[in-house]
Amino acid sequence: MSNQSQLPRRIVKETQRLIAEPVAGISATPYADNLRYFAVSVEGPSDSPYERGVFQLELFLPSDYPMSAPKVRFLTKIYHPNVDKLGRICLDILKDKWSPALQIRTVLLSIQALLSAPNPDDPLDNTVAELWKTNEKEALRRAKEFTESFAMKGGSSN
Amino acid sequence: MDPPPPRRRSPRYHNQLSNNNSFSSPGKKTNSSSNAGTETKLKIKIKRYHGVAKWTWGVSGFNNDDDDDEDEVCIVCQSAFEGCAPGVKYPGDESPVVFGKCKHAFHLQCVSTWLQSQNSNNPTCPTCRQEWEFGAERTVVDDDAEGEESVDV
Repeated sequence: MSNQSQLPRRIVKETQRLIAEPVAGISATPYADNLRYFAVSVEGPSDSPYERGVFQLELFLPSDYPMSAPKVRFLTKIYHPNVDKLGRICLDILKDKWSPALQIRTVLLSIQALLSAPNPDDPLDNTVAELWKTNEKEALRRAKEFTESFAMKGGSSN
Repeated sequence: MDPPPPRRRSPRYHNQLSNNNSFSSPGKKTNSSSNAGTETKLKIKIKRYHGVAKWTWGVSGFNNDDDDDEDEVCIVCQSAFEGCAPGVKYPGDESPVVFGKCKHAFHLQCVSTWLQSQNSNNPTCPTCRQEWEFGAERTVVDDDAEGEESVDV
C-alpha cells in the first residue's frame, strides 16, 4: 500500500532469505503495508530462564539502513538486565558497533544470544542488573516467572 | 539476396527465416529429393555480428574468508560486484569496486556512504572493523599513498 519509493534490493534479498531459509527458533515477517517493519518472534534459549518462552519483538529498518542499525524492541515483557521496561535493548551492534555487513538475521541471532548471556555490567535496567549481580539466583527466578507469565500464553501477545 | 526477414518477435519469425533461404536446412531440402547430391551445403551469410566480452572485477576468491556465495556480492548492498551499487545506473566504471588495506572489497559508492555515515575520524571496514584505508589492489599497486588522508587524532 504505502509504496514508499522503492524497497532497496538489499532489503528485498534479506526478506526473501529470511523466509526461504529461516533461522532456527527465530521468525521475522514483514508487514504487508510496510515492508520495512517486521513482526519478529524469538524462542528463549534452552539453557536460560527464558526457555520455552516465545518473545515477540518489532523490528524496523530505518530509511538509511544498512548504514544505520535496525530498530528492535521487545513487545513481550521480559526480565533481563539489558532490556528496559519499554522493551528497548542494550546491545552494542544496535548502536556504535553496527556495521552494514550485519543483517536482520545476525541481529536477531545476537538478541537470542543476549538471552543466553545477560550482561549486568552494561545494564539498561539498573534495578534488574543490581539484583542480577547481588542475588543471581533470585534474578533467574524472576526471569523465569516473567517468562511463564508473559511469554507462554500459547497465543501471540501482539 | 533476399531482404532480411522483418523483425518480429513471434514464432512466425523462424518460419520466415527458413523460407528465406538465408539458412537452408538439410531436412527441408531432402524432401524435394531431386537434386539430392548437389547441394545441401549450409550457406550462411554473416550480415552483422556483435562482439561479446565478459569482464569481472576479479573479486571472487579474493575475499576468501567467507563462503563462495558471499564472495560474489558486495556485502553492503548485497548486489553482485559486477552489478551496480544502489543509485548507480551502469555497472563498470560508474560502479567500481575498491579494496581496503584489509583486502575486503566493496562497491566504491557503498563503502563511501558507510565511511561518511560513521562520522568518525577513524572509520572502519564493514567486514572486519579495522580502521579503513583504501589500498591493496589485487595486482596493480600504484596508488598506495592516495588512500591515506592523514587525520589528526
